[in-house]
Amino acid sequence: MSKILLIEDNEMNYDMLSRRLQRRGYEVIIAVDGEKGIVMAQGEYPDVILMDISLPGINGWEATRLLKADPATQSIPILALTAHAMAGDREKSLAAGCDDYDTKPIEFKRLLGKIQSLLEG
Amino acid sequence: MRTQFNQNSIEDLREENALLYEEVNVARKASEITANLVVEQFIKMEKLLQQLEEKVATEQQLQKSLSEKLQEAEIRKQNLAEARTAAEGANKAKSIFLANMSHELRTPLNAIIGYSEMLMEDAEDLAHEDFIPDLQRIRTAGKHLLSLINEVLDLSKVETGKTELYLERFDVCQMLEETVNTVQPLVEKNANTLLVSCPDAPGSMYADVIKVKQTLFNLINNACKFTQKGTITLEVIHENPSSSSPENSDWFIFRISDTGIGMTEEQLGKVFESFSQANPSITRKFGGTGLGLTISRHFCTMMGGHITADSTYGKGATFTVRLPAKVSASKTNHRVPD
Repeated sequence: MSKILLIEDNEMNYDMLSRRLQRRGYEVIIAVDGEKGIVMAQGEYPDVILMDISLPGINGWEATRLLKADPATQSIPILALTAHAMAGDREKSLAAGCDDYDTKPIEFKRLLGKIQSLLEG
Repeated sequence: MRTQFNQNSIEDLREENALLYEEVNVARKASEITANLVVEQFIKMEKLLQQLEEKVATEQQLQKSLSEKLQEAEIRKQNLAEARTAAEGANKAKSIFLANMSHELRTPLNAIIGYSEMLMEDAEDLAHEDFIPDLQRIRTAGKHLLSLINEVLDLSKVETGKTELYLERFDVCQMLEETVNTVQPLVEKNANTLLVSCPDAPGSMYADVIKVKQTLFNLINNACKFTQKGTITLEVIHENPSSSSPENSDWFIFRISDTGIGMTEEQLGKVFESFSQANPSITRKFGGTGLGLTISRHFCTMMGGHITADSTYGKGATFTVRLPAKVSASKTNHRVPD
């Protein structure tokens, strides 16, 4: 069973997304800010990280940079999620080291496809 | 002898006296003439002086009123500048408010859409199919609201100059395919048909693919809204596709025409203005924010192209988008003339 770390501060968003992913057979662990997410990634070795970008404290791009700079976590694929459907966020996410990018609101099927290809990749 | 002498002397004196008298007379006359002349000159000078004084007075009056006018103009200019700054500030505040508001509105909306989707999955799993249509309605309404909010957000970004271009090379054919797929459900809604006419290998463009797609989507969506059981045609023309032609003559033209209700000349005149759907009843009947075309025009202008509309009332409308095949970053404008 693949383990997904979901870093997201909005309660409804993580409740919804984690339940839907669990139903599809994924194990989901949740962190509500960037710092906790980094600690969790280092301790739990998830197979993939779903990273919200606007987080309290350090933002998702910053957290991605730190995870990608750490040899212990740099191989974990990161998928950025942002509420702003702006092309610029895609570039910024990729520049920060994210492996892929998707926009909120989540289109669940598309997101599943992206997660699957990151797990296979 | 003495008397002789006296006689002679008297005679001489008399003569002398007469001469003297004459001389005095001449002198008096001369002085009278001179005096007259002096008086005349004096009067003339006085007149001149008076005229001069009058002139100076008029001049001063003019100068005074001129400086008053200048001062007035300066005050008016200042007032205008202040009013302009205030108006610009208000407009900016409005845009920022809309951007924040849209963002705040989207968060709960994500939950509405997401949970309704979840419940639909639940209903399927638990064999409660009877719930599905209602849940579908919640989800559709949520998605509709989301698209309206996105439009408001897009426009406020354009107006605050926060919209940026992300230029990349993309395949025109693939871009069209993706756009048509997205818009297909809207085409079918009013029993319309979408025809795409495109050269076999239209080649590639260097532009902001998301903004090109959004523009075409808006135009096709618009055509679908105002057409019932008709045809919407998307025609793509690559102008001067030869490699030897200079870059600036290499254009892509996307023409979207429909067989719908069309527009009157008055409607056509303000079709690209914000919130300018032909009338409020149209908004109720056909939906939309009335911002799609405004946003599309902004996007096209930013990419160095433009968009035009043509229509005959009752006989459909045609929108033509002209974009350079290679958008140059330096040409990109963040502002569109009003």
